[in-house]
Amino acid sequence: MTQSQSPTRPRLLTGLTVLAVIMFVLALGMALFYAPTDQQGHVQRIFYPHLGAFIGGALAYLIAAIASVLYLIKRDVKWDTLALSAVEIGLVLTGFNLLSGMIWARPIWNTWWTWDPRLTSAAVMWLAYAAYLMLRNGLEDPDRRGRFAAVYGIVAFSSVLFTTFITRVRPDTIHPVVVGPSPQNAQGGFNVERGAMTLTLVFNILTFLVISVTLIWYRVRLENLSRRVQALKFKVLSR
Amino acid sequence: MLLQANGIPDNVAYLVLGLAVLFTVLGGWLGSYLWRLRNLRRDMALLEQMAEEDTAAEAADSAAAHSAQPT
Repeated sequence: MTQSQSPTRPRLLTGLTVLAVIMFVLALGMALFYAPTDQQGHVQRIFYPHLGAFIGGALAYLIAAIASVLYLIKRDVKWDTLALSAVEIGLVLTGFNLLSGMIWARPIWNTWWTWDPRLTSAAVMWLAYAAYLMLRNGLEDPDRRGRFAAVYGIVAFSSVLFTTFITRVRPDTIHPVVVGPSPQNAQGGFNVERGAMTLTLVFNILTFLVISVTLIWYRVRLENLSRRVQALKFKVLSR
Repeated sequence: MLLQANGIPDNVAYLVLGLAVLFTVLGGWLGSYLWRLRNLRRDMALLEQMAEEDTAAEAADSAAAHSAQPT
């Protein structure tokens, strides 16, 4: 086998990929055909992947924060690779969360966007992690880049916590919550106590958790290949 | 907003838009991943070829220098 061929895909990753695809199809099917139609209309069905994507993204950011801590302790490049990969996948999933929220808001709140505490904090969170990638690209020295990114990755996780809990501490938000009482100004809330809705929601959350882990793993493999290419390039050019 | 016969608003177009965004975002990342993977594999193959050519050239030089030495 030549080096240009990436190492064989682990069986676990293949199994995880198959599981993620099957779960994704089932989750969408449940959201579209199994869950009952709410009084909001069919657009409410976007709620299932909307929340699932946020939780999948939050998991990715949590992995990035933990990997960042481990990088600062052990200075092993594999933790830096994991943090970078997790942030990229987190951006993809929370990016969809933001966009699907806007699409849902248009018919329910009669606006695509409003500077509500929850929406604003979600946008700030996304931008904070987008800045993480820019910060990395702006630093040449790998060790310095790893250290700066790790510290940033830990600090940026506060934006995830803030976004998650803002609806609990700010009663003026119009964003409803799923578990527990919604803030007094919340608009567009609905009751998920019914069985089919709860099952669909839980399955969608599990699906996006599996998708998050699977995509992070693929991204880690890509980054490892990239590092091997850089090392070989350095070796060839230094001759 | 249009209402269906049962009083539920007809906003299925926004649901379709949401699904289109879902497939675009995930598909966009997947396309980006495959594009980066293809480029890296191509770079790796090229660099390996260059490394092999360098090694072969070094071996040829070494052999030529060895044969040119007086016995």
